[in-house]
Amino acid sequence: MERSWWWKAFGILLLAVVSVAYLLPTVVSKGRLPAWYTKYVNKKIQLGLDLQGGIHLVYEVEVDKAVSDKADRLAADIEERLIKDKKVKVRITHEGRDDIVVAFPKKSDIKVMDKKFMADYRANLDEAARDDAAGTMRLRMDENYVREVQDYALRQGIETLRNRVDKFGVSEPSIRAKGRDIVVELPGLGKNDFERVKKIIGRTAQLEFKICDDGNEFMTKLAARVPKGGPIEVQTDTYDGKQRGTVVDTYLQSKDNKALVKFIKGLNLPKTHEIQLGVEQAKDAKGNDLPEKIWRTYYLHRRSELTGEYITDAEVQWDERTGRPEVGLTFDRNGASIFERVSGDHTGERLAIILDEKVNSAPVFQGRIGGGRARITLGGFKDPFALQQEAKDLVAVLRTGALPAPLRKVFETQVGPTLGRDAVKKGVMAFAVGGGLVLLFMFYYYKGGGFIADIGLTLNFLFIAAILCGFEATLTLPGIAGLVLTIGMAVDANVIIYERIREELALGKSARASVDAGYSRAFWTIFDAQLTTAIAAFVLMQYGSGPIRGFAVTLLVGIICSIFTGVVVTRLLMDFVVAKFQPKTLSI
Amino acid sequence: MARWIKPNINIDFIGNRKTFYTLSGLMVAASIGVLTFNGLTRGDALNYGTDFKGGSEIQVEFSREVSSGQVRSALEKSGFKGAEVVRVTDSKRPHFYMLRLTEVSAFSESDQARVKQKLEGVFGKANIARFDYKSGSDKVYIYFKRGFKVSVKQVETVFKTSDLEVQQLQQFGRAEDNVFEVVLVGLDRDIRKVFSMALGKDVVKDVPQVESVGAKMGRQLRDDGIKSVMYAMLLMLVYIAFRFDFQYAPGAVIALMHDVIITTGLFALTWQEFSLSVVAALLTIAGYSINDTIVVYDRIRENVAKMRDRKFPLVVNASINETLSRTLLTSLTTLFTCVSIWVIGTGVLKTFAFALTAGVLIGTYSSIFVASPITILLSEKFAKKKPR
Repeated sequence: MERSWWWKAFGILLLAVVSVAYLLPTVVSKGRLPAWYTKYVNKKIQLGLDLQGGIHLVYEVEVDKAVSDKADRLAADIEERLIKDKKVKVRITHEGRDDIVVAFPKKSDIKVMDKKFMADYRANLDEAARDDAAGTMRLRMDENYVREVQDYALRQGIETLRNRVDKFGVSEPSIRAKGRDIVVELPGLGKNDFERVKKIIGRTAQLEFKICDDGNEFMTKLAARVPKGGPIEVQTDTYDGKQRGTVVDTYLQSKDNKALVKFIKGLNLPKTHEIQLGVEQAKDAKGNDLPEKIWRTYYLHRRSELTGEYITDAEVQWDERTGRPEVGLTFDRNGASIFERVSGDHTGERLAIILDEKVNSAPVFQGRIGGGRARITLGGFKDPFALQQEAKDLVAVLRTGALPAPLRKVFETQVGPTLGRDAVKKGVMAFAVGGGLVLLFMFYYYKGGGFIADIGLTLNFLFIAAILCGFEATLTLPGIAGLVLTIGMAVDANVIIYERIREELALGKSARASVDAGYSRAFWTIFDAQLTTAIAAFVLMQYGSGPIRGFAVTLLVGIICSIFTGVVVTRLLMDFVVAKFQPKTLSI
Repeated sequence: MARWIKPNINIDFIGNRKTFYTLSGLMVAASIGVLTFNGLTRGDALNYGTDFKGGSEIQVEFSREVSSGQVRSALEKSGFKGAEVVRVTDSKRPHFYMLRLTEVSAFSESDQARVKQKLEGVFGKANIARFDYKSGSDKVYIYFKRGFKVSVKQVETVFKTSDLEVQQLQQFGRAEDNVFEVVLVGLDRDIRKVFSMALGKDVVKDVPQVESVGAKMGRQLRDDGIKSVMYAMLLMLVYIAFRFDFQYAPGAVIALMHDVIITTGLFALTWQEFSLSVVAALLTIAGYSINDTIVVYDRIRENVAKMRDRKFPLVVNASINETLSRTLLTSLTTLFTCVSIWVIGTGVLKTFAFALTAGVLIGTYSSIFVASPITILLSEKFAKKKPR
């Protein structure tokens, strides 16, 4: 035999050994393998919900929050139009869930709220009360619009969750509406992964940008009322507010989050403002980090200048100074221009970046900022690896968009497989019979050649299984059936080649020449046929989501392995037979 | 050495191509016809399972140990086909199950109309904003106009006087929304009956919840799927046109659509459950069909270069004959697996394998009688415009 033949044979053997090693943790039950082994080789083929069940989570969609947010946005929109287009002074407040109260300091200005102005909001708002003499007006969210917003929150919630779970790489999840809740079922995962997925699912990922109202007398007055010696302390910071001179920021801080939240809840805040909390790492007198967290307040204008809706992309990047991971945001064109305007109008003021109702950071605008980029820093209590993972998860949720309403987990349980044990048993038997018939037939029809094809098929199955194991793919019963079918179809390559070899033999060529011609002629046929299918699989993988993508991956893996075993492996064996025994004719 | 198809076989596939065009055309038309007919008479073109249509999720707590097999067979005996039976691990409730059925209604359409009419009569049409019943659940939501004063008692009376048993009636959500939730008796009673008949009296301890569940394959997922299939076909067309010749491409794609449409038509005709697995089967059929067609095309291309003196239709016929042995053998090996899964498997696997078996047969037929003859049709069209 030629040297290259031995190399190739050695390569294939090595692949087979690696595949078997990879598959061992899937096939052998846990605890039967030595620990040193599972430490290095621990990937497993997951079984789908139908075969082994999984975790069942029920989330309630807090639709009223979505409605309230919508009212907020409508209020902001009306305010902006009144001030910018109509050039009047106005105070707008959002009351309860549905009501927007418009008050004009100059009472006669109420005339700008005419039919024409209101026409734009006809579908969203109803006029609940109007007092021309007092210059006030009460608008209420339209009933049908409220329901529309609620329905949308549920529908969009499902889509967002699906995208997030997809991004995380869980295959074959089941996500569906149940009444007014969302049910998520995930097939078996490691415990750590479960926790991470649950965190990603539950995350609202609502991103808001609001201007801090530092130096407002509300806070200085409030500071005087904080009981001394309690868990809450008063602090001040100063910073350079550019044209505003030096700004003194008075805030409250506490290591006791609950006490702080309770204290703030009891306050009578002006309707235009709100207090949000941010978390920092406690420091000792010298400025060294202490292990505990400390919460502080931010006094903010209630209106949000920008939201996560304007983000087109998010990515993990590294802070050049500290080397810590952070998340970079890119705004769309609209968002970029708003950001530029806001940064110009509020130079010297601080912008609070609020993620899920927690202030992430509040940098001072140094001037007008173009380009439409911003970044989110991550809390520094974790090791770099955990931080990087946190950044990745944050990117995943920001890219898939915010949930239109917060989700509250109401139920979590473990569920069994959806298919009965007998169904699985019968399924496995069907696969064995089907696969066995194919092998037997090939041997019957092509004799020696068939035996070689059978070796190729067995290796094919082994390789496909090992690759799927490497992807940690989730297999459902129909998925396995698809694999068995791939085997049925993989025979195609061998049939094409053998039929070709028979034709060449019939033309009177020698055994070696027939094998050469058969393989080389058949190769392009196989290549074209499989590549056309592969193109389809590739497109399905790119654009399809959920189960369709899973199918495409299996198909693609099947195609690659089938070509390899059908063309390379059987050729090698055929060459061996021809070279070793130098037969006059072939058993084919 | 076995050889079932003689090497010098020469069947005239092309001569009768008009007959096969007609036959295929009729089959495709019949499939579309059955789909439309079902859509008109049964409300749905296909017997969509819970994957697509959603249905009811019913929680059942049994008073003693019952296996999931027993639950399933009890349901099947009572005509609930394709039920999903899931056991819930719960330390407080050791025999707890979740059943997912295709839509069962607790509230018939005539009852709905009757109650709605009565409500309108009692409270005035203008005061009822919406009357909402999600089929599959046992809950009705009545939205009154905001600010309209109505009590739980008043609503309950309407249901009672309409001979409908109410399990629970309460205000839903925020008071200002003025929404009432009515939980009807019906489905839970039916479920109790099913199990007590099959498994003995008092086997059901509680039916804590009956709720409608949405489809697993939501609208976006479905749209994504359809879009990706379209793109896939387009790219295959381009690739075939590039690797072979333009006249080959349409035939392959038409054959593929032919196979998928007829298989779907068979599902409409036999009214078997159409689930996500069947979609996977249809995609597999598409892959198989294209594979089969390309092998024949490849031979045609080779022979066009070899047999310069022969007319194109004859070359095509010779190519089909030469590859016939391979076409049939591959179909056979594929059928081995499909048929054994069809015969031995149960439930999802059975419908999955049914789709594949049908698809492989149709795919084999189409690669011989549809795809290649269409290339002749197109080459004739081209020849007229651009004489060689």
